[in-house]
Amino acid sequence: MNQILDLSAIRFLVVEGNPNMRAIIESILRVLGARKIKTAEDAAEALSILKIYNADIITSEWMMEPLDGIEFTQMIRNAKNSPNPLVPIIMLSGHSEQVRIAEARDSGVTEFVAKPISPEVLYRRIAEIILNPRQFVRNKAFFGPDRRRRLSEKYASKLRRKTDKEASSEHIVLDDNGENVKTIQA
Amino acid sequence: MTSDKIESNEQDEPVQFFPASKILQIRAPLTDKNLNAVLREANTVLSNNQDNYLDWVEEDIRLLEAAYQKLSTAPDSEQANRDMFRISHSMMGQGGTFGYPLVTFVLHNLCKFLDASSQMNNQDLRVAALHISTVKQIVTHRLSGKGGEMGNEVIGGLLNVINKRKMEAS
Repeated sequence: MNQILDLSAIRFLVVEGNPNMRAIIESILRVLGARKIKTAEDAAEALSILKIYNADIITSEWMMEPLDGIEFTQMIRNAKNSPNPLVPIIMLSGHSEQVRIAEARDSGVTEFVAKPISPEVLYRRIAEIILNPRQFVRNKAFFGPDRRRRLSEKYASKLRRKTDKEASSEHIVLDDNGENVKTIQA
Repeated sequence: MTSDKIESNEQDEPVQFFPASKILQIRAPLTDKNLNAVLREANTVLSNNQDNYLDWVEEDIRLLEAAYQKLSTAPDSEQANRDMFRISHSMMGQGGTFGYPLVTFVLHNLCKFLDASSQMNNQDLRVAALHISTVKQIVTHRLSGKGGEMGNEVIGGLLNVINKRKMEAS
């Protein structure tokens, strides 16, 4: 795909403790076409902004204080007064070890970008969120984007869960207002 | 937020599924702008900020040195270790972004070292200090990219010390 998505109507919230990096991420988003961008220097400010700003995509640094990016994500996903538990979250971090990525995923992060930041990687993660949104899953221990990205076409085994079978035959459609989605079985 | 609550066949634990929202697809249609051209422009933003980065990193090095001073006076302080880790981590992310991957490399090593060292002895502190002086050399001599011959020398010296310390520790 050589055309870029029009990000001008997407509301971004950039959460980053370092003011220079915050400005750079904002600049990159602007060049990518984003026009609705708010920034926060820590999780507390971000949560405060989210009460009045319905962000479509959040980018968050991992290493922040007093709450780090993982704790921030868990608050967004699980707090009773969370303004939007389903909002996609892109975690930016210098930690690129597999165990860290798994920790981020298990906390409910949607996408992960390892620093150093590359505009291309950042754009690809944003495009993934927009073009291939994932269903959310809640069980006793987890609430967040489905950690199985998609059913592999090469997956030859039987689909064991009732939900897998249904998911493979369902279509997602917008309601009459174009705001909410509903699923219909094929 | 609507969901389908479904009993799993494999476990008794109830699982709820919330369907994926496609609303962002509606809000973000494809433009006729070429992606590669826009990405080139975005990369130009980063390279135009290289000079600014060199100012920022000087300030960050001062913060890192101050954190090191605190750690050296309280080598078993978790807070001092965490402060130094946080500054190193922040600098690590910036280095490669602005064309200084050697800064990222050295500070990635420092983060790993700090992460593994809850209580530091004098030798550990010397290793931490060497990381900081290596970053200073990279910045002072503007060793961007791979840093050429001098970059190899600086990094080689650091790795020798790290390996020696690892052998002593084992």
